[in-house]
Amino acid sequence: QSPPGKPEIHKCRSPDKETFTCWWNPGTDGGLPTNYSLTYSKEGEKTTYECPDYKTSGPNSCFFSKQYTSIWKIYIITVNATNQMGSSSSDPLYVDVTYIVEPEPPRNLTLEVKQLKDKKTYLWVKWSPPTITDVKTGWFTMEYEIRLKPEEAEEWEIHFTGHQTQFKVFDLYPGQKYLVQTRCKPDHGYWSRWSQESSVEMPNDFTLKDTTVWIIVAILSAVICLIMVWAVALKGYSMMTCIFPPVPGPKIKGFDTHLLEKGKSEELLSALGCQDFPPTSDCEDLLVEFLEVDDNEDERLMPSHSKEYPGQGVKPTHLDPDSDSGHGSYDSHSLLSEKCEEPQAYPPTLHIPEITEKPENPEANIPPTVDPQSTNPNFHVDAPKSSTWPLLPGQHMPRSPYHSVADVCKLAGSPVNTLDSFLDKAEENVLKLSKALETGEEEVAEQKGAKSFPSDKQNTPWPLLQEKSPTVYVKPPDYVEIHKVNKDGVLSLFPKQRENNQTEKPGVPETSKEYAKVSGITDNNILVLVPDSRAQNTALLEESAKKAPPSFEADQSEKDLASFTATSSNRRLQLGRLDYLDPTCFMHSFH
Amino acid sequence: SKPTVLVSTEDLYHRLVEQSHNTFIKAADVYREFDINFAKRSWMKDRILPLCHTASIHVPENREEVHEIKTEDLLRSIINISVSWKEPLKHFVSAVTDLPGASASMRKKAVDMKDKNLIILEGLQKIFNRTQTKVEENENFDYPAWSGLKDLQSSDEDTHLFAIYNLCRCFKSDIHKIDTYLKVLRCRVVFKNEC
Repeated sequence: QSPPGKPEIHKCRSPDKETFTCWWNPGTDGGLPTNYSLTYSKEGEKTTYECPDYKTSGPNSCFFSKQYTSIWKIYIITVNATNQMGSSSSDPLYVDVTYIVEPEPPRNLTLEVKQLKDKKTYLWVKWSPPTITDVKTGWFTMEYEIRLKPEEAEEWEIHFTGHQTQFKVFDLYPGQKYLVQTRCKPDHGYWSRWSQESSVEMPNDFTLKDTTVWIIVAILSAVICLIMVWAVALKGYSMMTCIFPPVPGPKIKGFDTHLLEKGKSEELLSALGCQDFPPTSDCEDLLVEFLEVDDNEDERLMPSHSKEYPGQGVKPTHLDPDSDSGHGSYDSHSLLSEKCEEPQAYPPTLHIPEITEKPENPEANIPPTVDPQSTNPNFHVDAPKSSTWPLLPGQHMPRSPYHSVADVCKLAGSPVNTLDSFLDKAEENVLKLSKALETGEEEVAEQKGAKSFPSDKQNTPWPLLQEKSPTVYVKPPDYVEIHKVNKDGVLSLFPKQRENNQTEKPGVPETSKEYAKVSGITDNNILVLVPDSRAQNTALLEESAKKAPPSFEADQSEKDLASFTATSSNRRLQLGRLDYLDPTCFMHSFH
Repeated sequence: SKPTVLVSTEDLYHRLVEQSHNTFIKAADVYREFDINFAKRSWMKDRILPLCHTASIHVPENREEVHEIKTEDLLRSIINISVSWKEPLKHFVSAVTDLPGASASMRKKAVDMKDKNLIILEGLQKIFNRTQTKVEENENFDYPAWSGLKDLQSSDEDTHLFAIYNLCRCFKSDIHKIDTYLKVLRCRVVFKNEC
């Protein structure tokens, strides 16, 4: 048995700022019945009061009703314990009612599952303030909290909601059951207890599943479309080429599409006009071809003519002066012989008509050739004829040998032989002219003539050689005699041959011919053969004298010469040719 | 200079409630720190707690009185409380500043308490003037004088500390009154008793 232990005031709380209760913990009782009493005093007062109510709030408690409660004043509270052995007191406690407010929990807690327009579900929590407190007038200002958890979970999830009395909770698991509680606290007071639990089960969101399915379908279809578009883009060109192969556009030569694009009608017309040019250009090409052909022909003809005709001209000049000179010499012999007789009677008159006749001869030759000739080649043929004219002065030069020959004829004194030779030559010339007319191709005739001259040249040396050899064997003394005479003549002849060379270049082949003759004779005879040719002439004269009667034939020839001056010139030319034919006479003589 | 834009009564109430609420929190912190670090347990047995110097200002004691009191009367009461603390808070700041062992936060909060009280007083007077057709400030305001300066300046440590303790607990209680009744007035005027 001892006095009671020291009690302890546990806590004092006011639910409504109008009443309050204090609780205490008793100490040891000392083994004896112990009585507890609560006494209090207020600030500014010395009076001590005892608890007005020990029953309302239960054991070991004291309830202060409105009558005994003064807010804004501090209560000094003490608990006393008393038994038979003694008493003890607790520590005093200062209590300000405004600071010990602990309200009741909120009430009417309700839970609703709702959906937004996008079919998203959420939990809507609502509650009401405790009934004792007066919130509407502002006498109390409350703050709230809620907490929730799945039924099986252990930890709560707390949300502070401020002054509002409702709250929305999102992102809850469908098909799960949730527990929810709430509590409140006044300004500058204590939190209330948690309210009773409310539970709710979240439904399974089939709509959400459906939406997810649709979303997946949309995404997959979008992906497929993108892949197809990509493939088409990659192969678009090849596909287009396969489906729509390129169509070749019309191609018009000389037509400018740019002009169409530009839309210039004038240029288009000009372009169309250009289309006309191709045929003209073709014509030009054809003309060019023709022109080229003509030019080529002209060039071919001209060089051919220049080469051939000048060559022929040169050869005929070489031949003609040779033949002319030779024939001229023979003619001159005959003429000179005749003239020797006549000039003894009328020398000046006979010489003058001969000079006049020579210029008339070319005039007579030109008209007959021009009339039948109508083609260019004919004209070209005229060219070499014109080249022949310079030969005439060459022919004039041989007059000096005529004089020398005349002297020889005088010495010989055989006019009858000369007349016979003239007649033969005239006949041959007539035959040649007839042949030319028959052929009709004067060019060919001329060419053949040119060829014929070389042939004649080839033929002449053989008969000459043959002739020369018998002459040497036949008349050696004549040579000796001629040498004597020729010595004087040779003295005169050698300078004459040199003059011929100087005057005429074709004279060189003449000298070559003479050399050929000389080759046939011995060395001593070489010096003599130059007179040997003259000796041949003398032989011919002798033969002619032996053959024919002189009187009648000579008279006819003279008449012909007097009547036809033009024909006389032809006859002279023909006589020249006859001179060339003399070797044939020698051949006949051999036969 | 005064602001040219007129603030609405609703905004004034919202601002005042915010200020009084925050000032109470600071006062409660200062009281708690002093009670833990400087208060003596012997005071509860040996000393009698004196009444605060604003005890004579009547305010509603329960819900019925809150409903019955007029807005002008309630405004006048809380204005008198705020005015009566202008002088004591100056001395309180000096005492806490010179108190050995007081923390910097405690000193700063003491200064904030003094400044905020002045702001609240200015706002309350503006609202009161808007509710009155006639401005009769001095006639209707009767605030009690504070008589604790002698004990606050006492050379006795126990007396000095007890004086500071009383200033702490009394200002905390009075700022709580101001906050509570400003919230009641806001519900009455702004929300038409439908808070």
